[in-house]
Amino acid sequence: MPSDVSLTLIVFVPLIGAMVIALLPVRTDLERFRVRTGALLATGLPLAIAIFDLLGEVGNPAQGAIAQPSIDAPWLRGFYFQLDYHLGVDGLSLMLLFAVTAVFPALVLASWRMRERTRSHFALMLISETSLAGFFATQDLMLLVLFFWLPVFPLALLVGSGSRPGAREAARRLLLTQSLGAAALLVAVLLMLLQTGNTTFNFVTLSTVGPLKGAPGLIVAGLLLFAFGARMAIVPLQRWLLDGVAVAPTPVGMLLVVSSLPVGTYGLVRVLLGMDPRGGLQLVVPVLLLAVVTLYWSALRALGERDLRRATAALLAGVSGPVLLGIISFSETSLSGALWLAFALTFVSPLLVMAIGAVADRGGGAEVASITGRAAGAARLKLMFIVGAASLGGVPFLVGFPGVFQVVVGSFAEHRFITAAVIVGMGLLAYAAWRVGTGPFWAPAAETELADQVPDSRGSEFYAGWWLAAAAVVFGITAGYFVPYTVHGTDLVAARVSSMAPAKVPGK
Amino acid sequence: MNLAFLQDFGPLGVLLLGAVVCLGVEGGLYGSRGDRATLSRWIAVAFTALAFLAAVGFWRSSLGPAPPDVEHGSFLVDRFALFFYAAAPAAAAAILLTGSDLEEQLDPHQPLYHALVLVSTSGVMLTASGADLLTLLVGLATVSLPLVLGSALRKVDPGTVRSATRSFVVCAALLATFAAGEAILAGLGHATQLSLLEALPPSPLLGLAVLLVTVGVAGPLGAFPLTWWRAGAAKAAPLGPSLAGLALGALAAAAALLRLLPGALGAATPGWNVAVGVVAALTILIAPALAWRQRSLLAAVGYLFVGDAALVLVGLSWSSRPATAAVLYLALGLVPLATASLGLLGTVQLSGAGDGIAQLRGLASRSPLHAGLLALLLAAVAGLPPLTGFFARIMVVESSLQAGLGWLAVAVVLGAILSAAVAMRWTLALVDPQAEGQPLELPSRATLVGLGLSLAAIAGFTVTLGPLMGIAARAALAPLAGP
Repeated sequence: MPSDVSLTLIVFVPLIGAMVIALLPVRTDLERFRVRTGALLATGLPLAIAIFDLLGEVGNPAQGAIAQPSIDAPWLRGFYFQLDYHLGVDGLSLMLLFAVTAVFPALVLASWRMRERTRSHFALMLISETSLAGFFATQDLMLLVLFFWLPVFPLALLVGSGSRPGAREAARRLLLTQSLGAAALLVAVLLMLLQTGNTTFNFVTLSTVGPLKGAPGLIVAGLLLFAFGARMAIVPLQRWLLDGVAVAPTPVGMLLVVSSLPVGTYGLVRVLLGMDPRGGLQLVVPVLLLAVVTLYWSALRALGERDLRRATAALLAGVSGPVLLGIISFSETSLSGALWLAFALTFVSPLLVMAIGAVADRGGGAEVASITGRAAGAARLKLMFIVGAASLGGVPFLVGFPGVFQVVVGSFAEHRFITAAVIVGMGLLAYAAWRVGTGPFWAPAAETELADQVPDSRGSEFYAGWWLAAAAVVFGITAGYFVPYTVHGTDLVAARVSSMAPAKVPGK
Repeated sequence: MNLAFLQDFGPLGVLLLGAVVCLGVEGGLYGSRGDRATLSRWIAVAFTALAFLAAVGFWRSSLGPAPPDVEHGSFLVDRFALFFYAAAPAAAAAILLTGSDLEEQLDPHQPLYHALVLVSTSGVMLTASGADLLTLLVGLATVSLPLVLGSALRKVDPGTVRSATRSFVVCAALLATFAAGEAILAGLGHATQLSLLEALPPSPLLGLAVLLVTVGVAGPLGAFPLTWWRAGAAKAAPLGPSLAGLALGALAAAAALLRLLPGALGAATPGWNVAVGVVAALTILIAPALAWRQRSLLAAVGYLFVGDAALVLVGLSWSSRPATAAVLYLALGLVPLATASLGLLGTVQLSGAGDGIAQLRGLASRSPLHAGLLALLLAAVAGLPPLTGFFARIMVVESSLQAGLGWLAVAVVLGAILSAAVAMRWTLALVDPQAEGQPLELPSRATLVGLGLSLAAIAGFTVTLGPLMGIAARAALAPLAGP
């Protein structure tokens, strides 16, 4: 069990770091160095706590089904509903929470060379870490809404303060899409409360009360799908992510992709299936359609894009397809696969964005024509891209494989044709990834002057890439140790959905 | 002779006494000409502190099993009133401290302005204590008219005089509207006591009366169709009286509306909550849309503030203790918003650099402290999480859903998104790396103290949401009509 303060520290140390950093001067190189170091410390401390205090949980998979509380204190009384400051982890959230704490030091390292707006960049990034960690650590639904909404404004500011053309437009689109999503989530949560007659937002209570029925259940489910689907960048709500990654500085693009799919996936499993399972059952057909359309549309878009950053973002958005299939198949294996894919993407997606972004930044643009073959000699960047793309494609012994495998195995019995279509789509996505990488990394040498080669990754950027790639490999090899814990977390969700429609839901 | 009323009127009397002392400073009885402004400001702050402490003491003594509600004719001192007895002096102190740099605009009549603020604050208390229609009218007049007078103290600028005259006309018209509604209610009920209005049978005339009093009270909030008024007045008038009017006006309007609508009428007049909801929805959607069009930060913040203040009307849609508590929390949260706006925008105005989007572009690189604080203010006015406005919005959305007004909840959510877009537009301008300009000077120490307190309250009201709502829930029981 996590100690009383560990989750609070994991969630709020970055926020405290942001506040401290906001007050530091940034006139000289030394002062900027202090800001960076402060940000690294503020992200390193939660990681250290997570390693020493949280990962011990995994050793006992049986506990994965039950939220291990860290703190549960009353916050709001005297209104129609109650709010609790309630943090805890279970099999659904622990690995994602750990991934968030692990990825942010890499994001800080990737931002190390930024010289403009250093202070605001790191402060906003740390606020984003608090919101993501809080989202996965909370056990109170209203707190979850709060942490879901919290990063929207900082992310829009980070995107909009970039100097590339279209930054403002992308920031506006991000703000609009994500604010609408967050608003939909809020309305869904309040409707859920109203319909069930509950006065508490406690996860356990909301996951055990009688489910919403009929139209209210469907409306709530639709709102939840919109909210979390917008965050996952499913079709037709993916332009905010594509534009954001295309125009934002590379570290901001990395942050955007970390904030998208993992959050949406967890939200759908935790809230839609956990608390409105009957509504989820009514959405099977539309979600399956969305899964297939998102996967194919994203893969084709990645193939057709001339901007490599945008193409990379499209690749990553395409993974929403198998994730949606895993979620809507309702078996504990497929749910575990969806969550594991979200976990894998937390490391893999920033790795891919960084590899492509580094080439584009140093090559003078992300247009395919302008950087073709110019990273052929950048062995480290090439390796990072290979690890990322292979993980995305579900190559064994890399972190993406257990996710893809579980989704396919867990979904096949219920949705054979759709699963087959998704397998083909994943192949198409892998082909698109290969095409994206071919341009800068493997184009014929004759097309490129040797002098125009972009410099390879080094220094802080290399350490960030190394960290992410190492995570992709280590968690791929040791998945057998961690996956049972996640599966135990999905037991209860799958069982609850089963109890609603036993005839439709397959066994393990 | 029973002198208990002296104790019951204590906080209010302290403020009026402070106003008299400030008038003495204005008249030259105390202090030399050079330091009169500072002397009277600290006198006024001291009297607000005394009134606050007296109110807190009163509140603590009222926490027994049976709250000792004290009634002197049409003047009622219950927990509801005591909530405002504490909130209003705190707001006044924050206004006086945060606006100290801006008082140069009112030179040499700063002591008179301080006296007017204290009188206006006592008007909030009077309104909160109103047990009949006349007391409410007197209370609202006592809140608004002194500050209109205060805005006329700066006579160097013809635009200011025009603005003050316009404010006076609007205030008088609103009070007249309110009085007309009251007259109809009094005629229908053959009484002016609020407690007797609950028994009135529904009729078209009663509906008209409710409409008139609602417009008369909601007007000071800048509710539709008077959305332009508050923000527009703030553009030309001296900033101190304008923003003091926003803060104290919001408190008084919340008190009056709660006493009158859920308090007196309750469920007796079905449908009034729909009418109030329509006004609220229009205000909530129009105000941020108007804010989007503004090129002046002051006007934009003014309109956003009007949108926030209209949430008070949304909270009224559900006649219940939780909803009333939420309105009280919301009204309390509006105070630091107004005072922080006062301090920050005043600093910008005094710098002479202008508050247009062109002048403020790139402020983050030349005055990072100002830019950071302005960004925080914009986030707060837009109700972004995790600041006070976010929770206030959640609670009023829940209230409207409980009242069966789902469309109102949707309007609140859309208004929040529009407000966020306005906030982002200005924040992006503040962090624009390419713009150049002059850095802003730091404000005076008194302003910094007031500003710090206001911003701490904006952030702190989130953390202390539970205790504050606990206090508000205790205060909320008093004004509700029916069982």
